[in-house]
Amino acid sequence: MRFLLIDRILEYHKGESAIGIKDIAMSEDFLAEHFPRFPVMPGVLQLEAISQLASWLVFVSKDFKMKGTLSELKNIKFKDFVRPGDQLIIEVTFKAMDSEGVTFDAKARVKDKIKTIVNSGRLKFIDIEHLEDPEETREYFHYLTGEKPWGGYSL
Amino acid sequence: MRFYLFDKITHFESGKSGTGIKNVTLTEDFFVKHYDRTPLMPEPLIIEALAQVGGWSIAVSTQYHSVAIMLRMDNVKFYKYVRPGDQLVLKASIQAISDNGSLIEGRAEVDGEVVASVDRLMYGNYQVPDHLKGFVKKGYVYASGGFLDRDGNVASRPVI
Repeated sequence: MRFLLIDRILEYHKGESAIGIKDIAMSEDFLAEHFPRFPVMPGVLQLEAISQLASWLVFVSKDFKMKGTLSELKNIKFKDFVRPGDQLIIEVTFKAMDSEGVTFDAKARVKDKIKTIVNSGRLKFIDIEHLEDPEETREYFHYLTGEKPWGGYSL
Repeated sequence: MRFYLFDKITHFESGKSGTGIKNVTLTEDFFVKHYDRTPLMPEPLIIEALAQVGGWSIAVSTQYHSVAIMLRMDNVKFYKYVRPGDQLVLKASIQAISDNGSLIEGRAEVDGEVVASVDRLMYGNYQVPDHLKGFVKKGYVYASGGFLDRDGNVASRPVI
């Protein structure tokens, strides 16, 4: 499988919050083993999706120069199963930002039903140059938000 | 990737129609080279997804006596691109079922807009031997968002 766990960013406010979507499909590779008779999205992958959205928010808040890597998660609750066909809506809110990193709260819901809550997590900033091509990543971010078609092609 | 191209069945009327949902997500393997700069769902896979919902509806309508295998189709149209984050609603309406074959009409929608349609999709009906019916049923229940119990049999509600 590919490790892109945010499909779309619905809205974002720099330095404050973001809302994104992760669609869960029956074709996902992790469902083959998790579990053979009861397909559910692994909880840690929901955490990864949350951290990816938070990292996108760091990216846009820091003028496309930084991303975030996970350094801390506290008080995580998995309240209910996330199943194929569900559209997971993830909300990330930044609480405090300093020069090293940012702390955030997050929750994931399907329609109105809350599935997963993270009560305080922390991302450490990392220079985007260490990770990937900044221009390409920026284009990709705009594709996710729908502000610009990726590669400049109008669909 | 796993070749399950619908995630659950949301509506089913025996012998008449079936509606399923397919979530399109960036983790899908086909997005690797399709395409490098703009991920779009390959159009034939939309039709495959419709055909799977149609095939499911036929198998369940015949109480797992037949498994439908796609033979031919006519007048397939694609109207819009399907992108990651979209939720495809797959509507198959059964036109005819017999022992040898069946016919459906299919429509795929995103947010109420038709993205692809097929006027005629014809299946050959493979007759399932009695001793395999239970096995076939499990497969179809699993694929449609149903539950299996600890023995691998069909359960009416979640077991965990």
